[in-house]
Amino acid sequence: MSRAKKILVSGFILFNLLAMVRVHLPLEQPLLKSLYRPVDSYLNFFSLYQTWTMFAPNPSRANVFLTAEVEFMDGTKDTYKFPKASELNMEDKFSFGERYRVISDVIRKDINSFLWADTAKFALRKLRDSNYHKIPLRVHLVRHWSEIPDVNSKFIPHLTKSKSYDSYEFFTYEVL
Amino acid sequence: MKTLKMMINKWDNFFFEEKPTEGIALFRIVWVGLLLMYYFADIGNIQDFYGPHALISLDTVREQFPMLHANIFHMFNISYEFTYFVVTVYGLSLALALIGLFTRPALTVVLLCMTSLHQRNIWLLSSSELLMRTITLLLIFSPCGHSLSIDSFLGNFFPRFKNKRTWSVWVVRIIQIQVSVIYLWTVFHKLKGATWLEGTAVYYATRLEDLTNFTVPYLMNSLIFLKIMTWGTLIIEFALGFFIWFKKWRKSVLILGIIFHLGIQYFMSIPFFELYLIALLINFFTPEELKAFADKGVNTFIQGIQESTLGTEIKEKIVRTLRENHETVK
Repeated sequence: MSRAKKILVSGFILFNLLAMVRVHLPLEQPLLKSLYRPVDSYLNFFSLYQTWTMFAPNPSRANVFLTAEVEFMDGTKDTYKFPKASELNMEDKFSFGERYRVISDVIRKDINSFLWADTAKFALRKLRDSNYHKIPLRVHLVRHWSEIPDVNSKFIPHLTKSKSYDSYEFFTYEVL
Repeated sequence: MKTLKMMINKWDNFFFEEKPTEGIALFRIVWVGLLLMYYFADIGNIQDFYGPHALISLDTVREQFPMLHANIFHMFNISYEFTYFVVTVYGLSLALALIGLFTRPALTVVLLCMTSLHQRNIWLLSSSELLMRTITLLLIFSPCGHSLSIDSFLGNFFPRFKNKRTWSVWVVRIIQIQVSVIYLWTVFHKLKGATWLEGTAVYYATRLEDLTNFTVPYLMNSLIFLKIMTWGTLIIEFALGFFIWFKKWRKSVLILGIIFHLGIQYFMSIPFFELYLIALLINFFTPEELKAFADKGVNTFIQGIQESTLGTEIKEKIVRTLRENHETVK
């Protein structure tokens, strides 16, 4: 490899090394920030920000799922339950179970409220076929959670399913 | 000045050493094979996750990511026709990259389609998809189509397909550093958590219903075993990030790492992530070791052709071409 090519590739290597540690370096000084600007553009372009915080600093302590309750003009109601990985077979878990687990965890958080209207409309579409003759009025999004108790107070045997869940209605979408 | 020169030499030796291309080619086959598995698992999700009536609308995505984004959905009015077109092109490019035909352009299209589909609904994704984008991007810069590929086979007949069979290993080095960084960062973050230090993290992680897979009677209900697993995870992950660089421990750490990831896959339902990490560990075998492995595979293939019921003339022709192609590798 020619000297010029080596220098060019070395620059690319350094750029990649910087990209790997970007998230972990709290660089607030303007000079360092400007140094990182090209790296940030690259990371944004491909969404490559790396945190690698799997089960860290602590694993989650709650089993969570979402439902959407639709109220119709005739006074009836119907509920859409977002797929829950633990209730799916292996193939569906691989195909979409994990995705719904991740996005349910994202949607339930207040900080992601910009996703709530879309989520309500999606649930409405999912229930449309079974309620095609009804006029929907509103959609309520509900989060359900069951906390895993402290191991010292109660030991939960492996593969035991939670029996009781707490619920909280966190968003109402007015259809009309 | 002397120290600087020494450092430049070390950098040169580490990143620009010439090695056979079979190693990275073998990794391409495994990696793209896994991407294809993911593709087929994902193909039924077009309506719910990517199409015009997906869970998250394209308008929301555009609002949240107004900056320049590798997402071709930003440039067009989304329709089912266009979504299916992207998915079809993605599948075809994956197939081409797997067999190694027009490998680099195929991988570039794979990256563009993959990133577009990922960024169509980024809130669905986890570390698995981040790894997919990061590694595929790096693979484009490597000569992973120079061996074990249709491209290299065509090189016997057409000069434009002829490529060098040795290369400087810098892409593999970046992938190795990337893998190391993943393990070391995760250990660093875990050490900040009380449950990892007191040994209960694996207990809580295996009680998350959506992440459970299979069990082992008694063991998964033994707090002592779960504590050993928690601390063992920290030790193994640290070894995979640090001790893997030492020749003396490399093979033991690699074997331990593969068993560790297979173990997680058995107990926990984390699709693809463990498989991706096992595939990435391939890059820690030396190119010479991987070449020996690839040679064995090619020889078995040649033997299979010789023992087949094909006509003698055709057999001889195929075997000769394969041998010629293979000898240029040596």
